[in-house]
Amino acid sequence: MASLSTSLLTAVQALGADTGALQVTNNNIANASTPGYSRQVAILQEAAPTNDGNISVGNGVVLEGYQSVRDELVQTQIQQETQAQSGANAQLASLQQIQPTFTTSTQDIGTEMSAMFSSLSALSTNPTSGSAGQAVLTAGQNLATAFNTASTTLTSQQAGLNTQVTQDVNQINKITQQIAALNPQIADLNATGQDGGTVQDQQNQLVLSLSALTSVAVTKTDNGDTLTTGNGTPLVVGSQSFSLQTTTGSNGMQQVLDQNGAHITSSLTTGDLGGTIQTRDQTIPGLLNQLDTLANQFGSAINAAQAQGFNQSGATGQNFFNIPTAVAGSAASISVAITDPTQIATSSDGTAGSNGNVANLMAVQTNALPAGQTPGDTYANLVYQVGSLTSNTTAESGATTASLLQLNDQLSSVSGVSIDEESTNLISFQTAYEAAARVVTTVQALFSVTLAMGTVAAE
Amino acid sequence: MNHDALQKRDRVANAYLQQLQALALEISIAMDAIAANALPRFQESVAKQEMLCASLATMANTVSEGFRLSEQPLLSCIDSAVELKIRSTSGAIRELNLKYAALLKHSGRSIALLISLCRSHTGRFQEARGPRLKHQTWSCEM
Repeated sequence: MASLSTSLLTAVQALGADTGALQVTNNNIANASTPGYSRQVAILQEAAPTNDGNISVGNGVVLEGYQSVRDELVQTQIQQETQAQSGANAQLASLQQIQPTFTTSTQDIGTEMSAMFSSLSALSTNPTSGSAGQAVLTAGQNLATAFNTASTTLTSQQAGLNTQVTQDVNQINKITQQIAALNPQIADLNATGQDGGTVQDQQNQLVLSLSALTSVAVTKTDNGDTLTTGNGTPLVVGSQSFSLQTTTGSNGMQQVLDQNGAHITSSLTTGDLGGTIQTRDQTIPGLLNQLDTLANQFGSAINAAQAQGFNQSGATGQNFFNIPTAVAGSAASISVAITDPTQIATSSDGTAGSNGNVANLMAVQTNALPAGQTPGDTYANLVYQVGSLTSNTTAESGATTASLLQLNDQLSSVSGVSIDEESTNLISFQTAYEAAARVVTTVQALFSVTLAMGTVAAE
Repeated sequence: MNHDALQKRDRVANAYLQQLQALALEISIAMDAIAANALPRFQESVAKQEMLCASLATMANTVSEGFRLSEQPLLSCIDSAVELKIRSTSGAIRELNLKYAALLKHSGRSIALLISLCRSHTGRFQEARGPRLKHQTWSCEM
């Protein structure tokens, strides 16, 4: 009767294993909505059998431990897509604030430029008119203000992004410290052959948060995750984290340094930090340079046309716009140099009633600037660039979001907890238990019948 | 009691013993299935137990009926070795059945609690404000 006596022992083991398996279900349900939680399964192993002569009798199951269900490949893809998405979102957030400045609505550079040439056209018909002259000055001032506003918008965005760089670096340092603190716990669990479980889930979630900030390469080791930036700068090795630092560069912008003080700013290309740096150091300076060039060349062209004519007093026309010699900063500082309408050089021969030089001033509208295009076309090109950048970044953000959604679905199908599935299984178990309970009662009754087998005829 | 009747009764008694042992084995399989959360195996085992119980009840009645009709003392009518095994196996099954009942009671209670947990999960999420704050919580009633 080896099978019966061992069955009695099996019951005790089964009770323990069952408790463990149900504990896993309980944990899965309780964490169904916990971000980053990986579904766990109980690892049950058949107990060593008892040999009775040639017969091997099973000894039930024992609970070996728990294991989280993970797909490392999908997890890595999610990290990479998160980096791309955060980078795109960081750029998009800035571009969406810049875009309204570069439109063809009222008070933008293009509109004010057209208004200035319209006012010059009106002045041409009546060069001695004070009000027409004043209208030209006002239009010129409005155009200068539009340049100033556009420049301010760009530099304000740049300043905001510069602050964001510092915040991102601080956040990165905080997260890498947390990841490093979890590594010893994971290493201990791995050393005893156990699954990282919830500690690993926490770390994965932190790595994902880090991926949202910067490009991260993860290497699994016995001592936990080793993290480096995209260019190989170590962030976490074992229980040690390496902090990034910031320093003010020669351009006044915050530069990122690794733990050895080496500059790594330009190598950070993805994540919020990468997107922020990309916009701060590439996109905005590019737009600012074009804006400054336009302001400088347009102002110079108007000033040159002024110099070709004479004002109402018969003197050679003086500069209409104040512009710096250097291109940089022209949009920010351009202003109207003259305050008296009679100072506008309308005359080509020095007589007060002449309008001969207005044609030269008007020609600025249709002549190509040194950059190669007319002022209107140059501005239109700038508007197109901002729109195109915004549109491309929106598309990239949308694409990575869709990709992330798909990857998360994929991960959920592997690691996620399905409440419906767990619930259905539980109800099936309950029904089976009820049926089993009826059998227990029958077996109890059967025992009485078995004992009675000998007593009926013995009476 | 004639010789054929005695032979038949002994055959039934032996078969009864085998069925008892099979029942013990099935109970053991069911406990393993519960421990492993192996629902199909558990359901299959319970169905077999039901079948075995029905079969055993029928056999017990047949044997008892034979005893009633017998003119000889009962205990001498069954092979003593078989009878001893039947009694021993029955005793072991009784003990096994008690463990099985305890296991079912314990697991049934746990299952009931978990079902309650599932039922109360309404998927209510609370998302914190802010671009990177994605703490989600859900509540349930027990």
